[in-house]
Amino acid sequence: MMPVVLAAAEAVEVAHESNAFGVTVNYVVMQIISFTILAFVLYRWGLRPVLATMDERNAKIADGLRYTEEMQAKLADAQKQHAETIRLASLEAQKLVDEARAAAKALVERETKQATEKTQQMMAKAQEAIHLEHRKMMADAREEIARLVALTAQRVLSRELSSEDRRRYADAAARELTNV
Amino acid sequence: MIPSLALRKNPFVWSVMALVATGLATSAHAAEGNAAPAELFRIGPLPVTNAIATTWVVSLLILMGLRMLVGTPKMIPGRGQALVESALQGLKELFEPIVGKRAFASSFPLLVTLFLYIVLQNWSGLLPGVGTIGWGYEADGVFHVTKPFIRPANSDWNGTIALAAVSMLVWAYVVLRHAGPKVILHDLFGNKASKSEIAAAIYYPLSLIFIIVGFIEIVSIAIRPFTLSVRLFGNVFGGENLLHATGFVPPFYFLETLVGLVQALVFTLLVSIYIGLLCNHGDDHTEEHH
Repeated sequence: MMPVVLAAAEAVEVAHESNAFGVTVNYVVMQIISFTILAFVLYRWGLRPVLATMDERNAKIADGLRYTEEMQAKLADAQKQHAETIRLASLEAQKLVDEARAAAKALVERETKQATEKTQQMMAKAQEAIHLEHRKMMADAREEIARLVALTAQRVLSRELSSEDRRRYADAAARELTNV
Repeated sequence: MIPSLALRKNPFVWSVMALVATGLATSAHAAEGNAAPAELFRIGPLPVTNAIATTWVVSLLILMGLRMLVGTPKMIPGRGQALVESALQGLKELFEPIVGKRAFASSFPLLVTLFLYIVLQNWSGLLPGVGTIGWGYEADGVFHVTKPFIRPANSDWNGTIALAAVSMLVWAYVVLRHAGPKVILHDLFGNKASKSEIAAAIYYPLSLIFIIVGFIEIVSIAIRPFTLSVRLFGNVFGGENLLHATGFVPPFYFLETLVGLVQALVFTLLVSIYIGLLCNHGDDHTEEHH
């Protein structure tokens, strides 16, 4: 501790001497020039490029973050729009399916009705044809039976029947057959 | 055998031994409290002292170091550039809240250069040979260095006066540019009390008091170059003498390493505070309005 105190005391004593610290305008000017040159060179070729690079990087990071946020917002919009489009498409598809089902049902009903009507018409025609065939067959049968009755009567009577007799027997047979 | 081998292989131990040896050999009566720098030669009318020579060497080391670490700055930084960038970012975060956003861009180059320059100049005084090797005389078997070849620039008052002068010139430029004469005059002499909240009988006498305080403030500003330069010079010169007087005892040596850093911070922070006192008024309010 003693050397420290002695050194301090010595420094104070020296300071009291005239211009003990050697302060000289020329020295100060030279130091100012030295420091100013260093500050200028250091800033111009050392610090400014580094600071500019840092600023550029920060700007790029900020731009990147802003772009990411914009893209996220756009993605959210696109997803929302996509969901809306899918919803509308589903509704449209459901509507088309419903319409197709309704159309198919109507077509089936119409075709069924038409087929039924056609069938009924065909059945009616068939029945009418059967009826006509039956009447024709019955007429033919009556005519044949009448002829056979007349022929039988001619054989039984063993005489040639006149046209009038044959017509009378045939008519009688036809009347009888009509009641069958 | 084993300890001596370890001693030979350990560079840290060798460094400490070299420091102590250098100190013991030349320090006991090295500077002898001689505060005046020694003139080495002249460039025309301008003298080059041993302190100015150190200034140049340290300046060259700063520039070469920065060049080696950074080279051409790249968007994806290498290790050296990342180190420099993180240091600049740290200093930016330290100074920006003090000087304010408006004055930051104008003052940051000076503040960074001041900090780097002062801290490296201070530490340069701790290197073996700086301030302890030079011309002198031998008496009673002890060599007395009267004119060291190189000495730390900040142990020369001329150097710290130069730093304070440049700082105050830049302070004046930044303050005039970013605050303007109106703000400066109001800050110095204006009545800062609110007229709506204080009675007229108190407000107007207060104005007179603020004017008197303004003149005191001007005196305070006028002596700033003196206080800035003396504080730094006194600490570094005192530290150097302490090391010489105590024979470079390691605890004092490492204490001076810390003092070198702290004094650089103190000088730079004070300059930034002087700028911030006038330029950092209502930055937040201004930004809110914008």
